[in-house]
Order: sequence, then structure tokens, then C-alpha cells
Amino acid sequence: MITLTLFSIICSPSKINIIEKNNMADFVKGKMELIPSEDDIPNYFRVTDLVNPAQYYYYRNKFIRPTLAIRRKLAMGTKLHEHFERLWLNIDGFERQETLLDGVWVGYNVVGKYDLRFRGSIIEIKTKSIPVDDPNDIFSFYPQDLEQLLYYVAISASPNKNNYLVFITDVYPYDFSCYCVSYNDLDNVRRLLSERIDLLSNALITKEPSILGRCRYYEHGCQYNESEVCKCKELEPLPIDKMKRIVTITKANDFEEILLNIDKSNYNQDLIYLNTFQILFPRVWYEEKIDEAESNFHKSSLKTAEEELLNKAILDVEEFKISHSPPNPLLEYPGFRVQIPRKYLTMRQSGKEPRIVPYLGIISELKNARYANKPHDIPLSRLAITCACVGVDSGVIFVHYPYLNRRLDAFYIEFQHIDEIREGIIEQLKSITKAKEENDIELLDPKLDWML
Amino acid sequence: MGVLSSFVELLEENRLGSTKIQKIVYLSQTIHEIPLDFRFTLFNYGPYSIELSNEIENLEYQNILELKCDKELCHLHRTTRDLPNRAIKQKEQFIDFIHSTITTWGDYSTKDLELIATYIFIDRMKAKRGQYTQEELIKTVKDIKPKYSDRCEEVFITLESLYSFSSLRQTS
Repeated sequence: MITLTLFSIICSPSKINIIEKNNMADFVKGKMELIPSEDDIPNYFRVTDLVNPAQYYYYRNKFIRPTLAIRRKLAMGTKLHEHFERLWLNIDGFERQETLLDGVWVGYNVVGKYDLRFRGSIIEIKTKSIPVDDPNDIFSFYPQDLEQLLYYVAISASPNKNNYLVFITDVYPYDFSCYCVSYNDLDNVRRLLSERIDLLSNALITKEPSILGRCRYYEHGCQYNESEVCKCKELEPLPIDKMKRIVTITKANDFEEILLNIDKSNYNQDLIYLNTFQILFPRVWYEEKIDEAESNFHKSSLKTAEEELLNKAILDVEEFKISHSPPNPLLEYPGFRVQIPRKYLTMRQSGKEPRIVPYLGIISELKNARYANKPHDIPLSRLAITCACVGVDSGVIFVHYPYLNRRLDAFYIEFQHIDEIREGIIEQLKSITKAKEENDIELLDPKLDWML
Repeated sequence: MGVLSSFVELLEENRLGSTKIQKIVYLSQTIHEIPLDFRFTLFNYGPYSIELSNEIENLEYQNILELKCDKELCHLHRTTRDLPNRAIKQKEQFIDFIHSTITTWGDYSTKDLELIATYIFIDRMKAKRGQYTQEELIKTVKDIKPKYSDRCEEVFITLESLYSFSSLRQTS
């Protein structure tokens, strides 16, 4: 009978020391609940301020924290941006904007940062809850996205005539659609920007927000509407007829093809790439890569967004920052590339030197506080694999419970059997090699019941 | 999305929790033939689909459903947020099947639905391997769900009038 070998080696209670760290949890919780200071408002406009002037007006006057739903959307958007940007930067011709685009060089006190550039064209990526199937939908429902792209064009020194909007749905399978936005006369585009700057400046000087029209996110959970601070209910959205006259939007099927044609040459085809979860449960890897079965391990957008919020908060904790480079992965085995998350923090303990250890931020869907007393065995095992691979015998797990009043726990975990775990990983890699050679999944550790 | 949100909306009074929605959707797929295509496996509380669980979380993320927790009990709630057009179409297409699923199973307790769904799951699994007797089927379910063994026979009798077991050999 096959047993879960690596899993049982790691989860040996007598060899793991779990210590709850309330201070560490409080630091992270503090960052998650943080309300940014209001004195960092710059004396220039950002492109993002101009595309939703009504919300910016109220933001300048009173900061109200976005609702949880909006924060999740923003976090999911960030995650998808990072993912697709990373993917598309592998395509020849794509480049990332390294510094802020400063409109001062073309006469505007406006700065902005577009997502990507492809052979001179600006690419703006937008995440949406439903697919954007029709160019007219952009005028009707997402004029702010079009304005954003056009304002980047306006503050560029020598922009292309054709630029692109890429819409990605924010739930799996993250479908995307591309639209080419073309203009004939750059002066017209710049005039749009000038008019918007004047409008917003006037509203701020005269303290009259009604000239800014209804907020673009009025029906999408804007915090100023929900808190009944704004007057948007009585207003119409800003007109878009001028913009309609100066641009043409067409479906960019050719560009979509380019985005689908991702160059995987950065990956060595002779190597087996494994993450910590696949090392633990190699049948998951086998089914997906060898049997080419469709994976059912897609994280929900709710979990991904919460994870992003948690990881951002951990990164923001000043006390956790590391002062020197983290350890490099030590574990090497021919034919494999073990992919370890590069997440490290400085661990402090009284009477001991600070040390750099790996951490893991996880989201628990537990709804009963009785069971929320220690990290689950799977994240614990994933941390153990990471520690063993980088030659460190301890790490930290942060667990966030969205359904338990957004509780957050931190656990410092010491593994007294790190060498044994490393041996277990090597055995696991040997089994994977053999299973692949012999085409026999049965040689691998079974999955847990819920994965069957 | 349309079917799932309808179940939550129409069963709001029954305080639909995450276990019960799993069983309702399983029964809607297997008996009422709503083609939702969620893959189910047998888990602690009967047939369970990780894909369905993800879909529910996606609907929470999209603010269409909300999980309301009161002490240790949580139930799903349909928010006032409008459904996208394609979800409305799906809902309209299957509205009769949605109603028949709810009429048949909506009032059963979560515990009984767990047993019912487990019976059907086991029946379909066994049918692939040949014919079985009623006693064998009940014994298998009792072994899987020892906690509810006292309810197994009664639930089987109820289920017999609603569902035609495909693995059962006629007993004398």
C-alpha cells in the first residue's frame, strides 16, 4: 500500500515546534487596516486622478477607505496585471515602462504610468467582471479606461497612432479581448486632456464638485456614494461625445494572436518545474503535465484577492524588512527546477540574533473559530519544503480568516528534522523521475481524499 | 452563475449553507439534469466539488452572493447586485429545472441531503461495476456515514420513491 511519504515525514508532531506570534500578526493586521495619510497628495495630477475627477475631488476633501469589495477588486487587478505583464514581456517587442511618464516635457503638469508598450504602442490592461465583447461597450460602460489610454498618449512625446486596451475577466479562465484605439490628430487628444485638467482644477478652486459629473464608479461600489458623501446621485455622467469624434475603436484580433503566442523559451524544456504543492502531491503534477488533464486546482478570485491583500500587508511591515539578500535555493537535483516562493522576512526573538526566514501568507476559509488554532498541514508542509530547499530550519506562516471577522494569526514554525525533510524531497523527485520514465502514476504518493 | 444564484435566492429562507448548496447542485446535475458540469468527489460530507466551491467564492468576490455568519452558522445570501446578461439567460433557460430541484429537495435537512446525495453517488459508482443488492448499498452508505447510520434506512425508503437506483438488483 502506498502512503503519503513526504507528507508524513514533514507532519511528525514531535519534530515541529509551532509558536504563535501575536505581535507579528498585529503588525500585519495594522497594515491591512491601514488608512493612508492624507498629506501625501502631490501638487500635480496623476492620470488616474483625471479619469475619475469626481472621486478624486471627494478623495482630496475627505479620505474614505474603499469598501472591502473594491479592495478585493483592486488586489485581484494587481495580481492579474503582474501575471500577464510577466507573461507578455516574454514576447518580442514588449517592454515595461521603467519610470513615470512625466507630461511636463510636453507642457502638462500630469504624470502617469501605463502598463506596457509594444513596438511603440501603449498597452493599458484593465480587469473586468464580465467580458468586453463590443467596442461600443467601451464608450458606454468604460469611458474612463479609454480616457486613461488617451491621456497617456497626450503626455507622450511622440506617441503611436494606434494604441491598445486589453480587457481581462477577473475570474478564471481570465479571458481577454483586445481593442485598438486610433486617433488622427494628436492635438485633439491633447485638447481633451487640457479640458479635463481645467475642469478638475476649477472644481477644486471653486469647491463645486457638481461640474465633474457623476463618478465613473457610481454603480460599482464607490465609497463616497455608499457613505452618502457625494452628490453624484443628482448628476449625469460627463459627456463623451468629443472623445467619440476623435477616436476609432476596433477589435484587435491580430494583436490578440500575438498575446496568445507566448514564447516559452525562457523555460528549459528538458527540466521538470515543480512548486512546493506539486512536490507534496506529485500526482497533481503528473495528471496535468503527463496526462494533460485539466486542472481543478484553480484558486477562486476571492481567495486570490485576499491572498494579495495579505501579502501586500506583510511586505509593508517595516519591522519585517530584510537587510541583506535572502538565501539562495540549495537543493538541486538533476532534471528538476524546484520553484520556491521568494518571500522572506526578518525574524526577531529575544536573546537571539535576527535571522532571515521564509514565510507563507495563506487564506483559510474556516467558518468555525473552534478549528482555527494552528496552520493546516498542507501550508505547514509547503513551508517545510521551502525551508529544506533553502537550508533554513524555521519559517513563519500568516493565516488570514476572512470569515472569522477577518482574523489574522501568525505562527513561527521550527522544524527539528529539516535534513530528513530534504531527504524526503529527494526521494520524491526520484519517484517522479521513475514514474515519468515508466509512465506509471501509481509510483507516486497518492493525493488526499478531497483531491481524488 | 445564473442557476447558482437562483438556488441561493429561492432558498434564502432555508438558510442555505455551503454543505447544503453542494448537495442541491449535485442533485440538480444528476437528477434534474441541469448541465452545470461540476466535477464531484466523495468527501467528508458526501459529494463535494472543489470547482463549485470556487464558483461560490467567485460569486462572493463579484458581490453577487454574500456569506453571512451568525455565531458558528453561516448561510449564503443573494445581494441586490444585478446579474450579468449571460447569467440571466442561463437562469431563464433552466428556471423550470431550478424550481423542480427546489420543490423536491429544498425542505430536506442538510443531514438528510448528505445521505441522499451519498446514496446517489454510490449508486452511480456501483452501477459502473455491476449490480448490487439494496442491503449492500445501504451497508456501504452506513460504512461511509456511521454518524448517520440510524437515518440510513429511512432515507433510503424516501429516496426510492424519488429516484430510480441504477445499481440495484431486485431482491426477493
